[in-house]
Amino acid sequence: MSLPNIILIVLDTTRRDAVGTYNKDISSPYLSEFSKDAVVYKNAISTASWTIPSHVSFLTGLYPVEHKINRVTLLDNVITDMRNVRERYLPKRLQKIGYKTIGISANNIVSPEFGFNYGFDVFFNYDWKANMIPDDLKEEILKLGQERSVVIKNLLKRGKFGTLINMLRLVLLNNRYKRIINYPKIKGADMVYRAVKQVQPSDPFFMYINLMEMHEPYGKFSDLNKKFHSIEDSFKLDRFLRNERLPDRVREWIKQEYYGQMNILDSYFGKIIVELKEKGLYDNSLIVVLSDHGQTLGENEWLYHGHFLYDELVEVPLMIKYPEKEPDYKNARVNSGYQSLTDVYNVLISYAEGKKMQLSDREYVFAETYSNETAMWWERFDFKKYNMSERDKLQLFASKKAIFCDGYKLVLEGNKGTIIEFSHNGKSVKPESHNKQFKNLLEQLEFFIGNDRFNIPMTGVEGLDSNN
Amino acid sequence: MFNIRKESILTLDSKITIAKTVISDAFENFTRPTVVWSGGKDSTVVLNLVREVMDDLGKKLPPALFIDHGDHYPETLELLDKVSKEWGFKVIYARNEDLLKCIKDGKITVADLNDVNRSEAKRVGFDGTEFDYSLETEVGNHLLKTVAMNSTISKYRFDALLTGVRWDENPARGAEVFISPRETPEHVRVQPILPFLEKDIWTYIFDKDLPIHPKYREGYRSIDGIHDSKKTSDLPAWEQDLEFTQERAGRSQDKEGMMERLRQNGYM
Repeated sequence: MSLPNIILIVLDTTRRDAVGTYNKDISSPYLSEFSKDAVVYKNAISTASWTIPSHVSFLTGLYPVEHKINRVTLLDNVITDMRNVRERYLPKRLQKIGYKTIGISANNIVSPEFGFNYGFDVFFNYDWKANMIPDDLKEEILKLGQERSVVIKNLLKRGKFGTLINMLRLVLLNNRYKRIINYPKIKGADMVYRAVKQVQPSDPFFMYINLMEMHEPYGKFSDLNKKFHSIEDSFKLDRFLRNERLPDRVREWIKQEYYGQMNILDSYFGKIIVELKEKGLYDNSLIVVLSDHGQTLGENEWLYHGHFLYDELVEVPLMIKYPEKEPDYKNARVNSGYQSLTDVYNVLISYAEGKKMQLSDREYVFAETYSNETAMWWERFDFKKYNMSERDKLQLFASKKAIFCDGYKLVLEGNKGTIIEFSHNGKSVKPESHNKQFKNLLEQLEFFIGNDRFNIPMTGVEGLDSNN
Repeated sequence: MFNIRKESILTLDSKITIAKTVISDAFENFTRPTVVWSGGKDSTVVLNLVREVMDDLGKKLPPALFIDHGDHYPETLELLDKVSKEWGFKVIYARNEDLLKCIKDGKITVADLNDVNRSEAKRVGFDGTEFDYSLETEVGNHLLKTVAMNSTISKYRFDALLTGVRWDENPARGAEVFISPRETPEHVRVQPILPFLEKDIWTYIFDKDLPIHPKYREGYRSIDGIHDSKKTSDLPAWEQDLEFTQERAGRSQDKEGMMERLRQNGYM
């Protein structure tokens, strides 16, 4: 019996509602066409709200609390540093089984730099953001300030005219370069498509593809906010820490830009699928399309991803085209359950081992964030500038865990065990009016937390009966 | 002198130190440990050792996993309730609900069972159409205990199961090691009291004044299902000849190599 080829396509940073299959207001014809051949999972929840923990989850089958890769520095090899991750890492497992393994990624984190190429026979990484300004120059500039005017003033004050000219020359060059490649509208999908066209793997193969078109930055956001470095990050944090509402024009603009990106993503997705079909690699392949996390577009006064577990961040699209012509879907469709991206790993391994286990629903699924995610950015941020309240600190830096069950969602933070969210079908509800469900979620979350350093409310919440 | 068993030459204090080292190591290395607790003497000893280690580490007790095959003495369930409340931990009842709801007149028809149970029955070599609701058969024991336990491990994502398995209980357990990885579902067995002799268990229980299942007083030396356990004497378990008679003589699952086969299919 021959093993199926396995193709995993990550639509990075794609909210569930950005895909036409899930949202009738969105047009994504190629994804919709694909979904006719696939099982469309309606309740898929990502395990985390940013790239690394989420990727490690579906590439190892482990939740963040289990794989423990939640905070990285630039030099971390996130895959091989942890024994349990290294041994389970999907490409390596498939390689051992006899698969040819090919990685094609436009994400600068899902890259050899962080060790994600482990177990891949070949790994192509296209990152249009990286290296536009050399690291040493970036370092020097960052020490001088965050805003362009401050940096220039400081360079002049220090008499560093050479650096100044160098910097401005690179900025101009970058701008020109971006215009040529249509960045940031296109963030690598053209190169990914070209690579898919060029590779001629022998069967069976595993192909990992990451498309970055939905990820920030968008359009000319920098014009809205005259900052030099980490423009958008500074912007969102700025507003958040000052408890300011995002201006409506920003909200509207960002939504338009974000959902607009789907046109580009969808067209490249379509091109890739056509290419696979032409090569005869479509029909008999197991093809998984998913997103690693969503994106906040001004909801809860926040932009982009990480730190939080809002629905917009963890509700993701998940479609699986099984290799069988008429697969037996009875195990794959249960209406009330959820799907965890950790189980995608089990499905892929089972097909590679000839066992053909389809994805099944879970009664409970979980999502986690450890908040202080990347050392590289946070450690440079000038927090002293802000008069952070305890609430803000908690909101930003406490690790959080969410549990989903039967329409209910409970999110806690793990410093003081505060309840951040308790909702039913997307609407906030009071624990005392849904006592039974609340207690059940709390108990299941407690089991899930296991040994992790995470405080949960010990005796429930005021107003709840305390019979047990 | 060469016949001295490896576990006989250690003092109980040393064995306790070993057990605690194994336990604290497990809690450091695994995210979600659970103690497999039957209410019997061995697993209660493990539970208390875990409790002492957790006290030292300033951590809460992990949940206990109870394999509920539906044929328990009422005293067992009372003991579970009482001890878990007093010591402050949760008990997860691992039940094969699908099988338990298929019992008709003490029998189970294979065709009534779900896919998982049917394929598990086949896996342990059962190809009949019906079997007795009993722990005395291999298929019954496997479905009621191992399958229930495995699905609970998967559901709660337990990565370490602390068990009260001991070397001197049954030859099939004689080659066990302290930390032993298992597959499907993937987890490790942490077996801290392997070197404990039956005598050590009772000494420890009386030393620490641990709760004792009333059936031991009536003469049972090993307790599980009502129909699976038999008295070995009228003397309390601890007053019986612990050295020269078999502890699990009253347990049908230990007969004729059945334990070895059960273990191959995932039992403790």
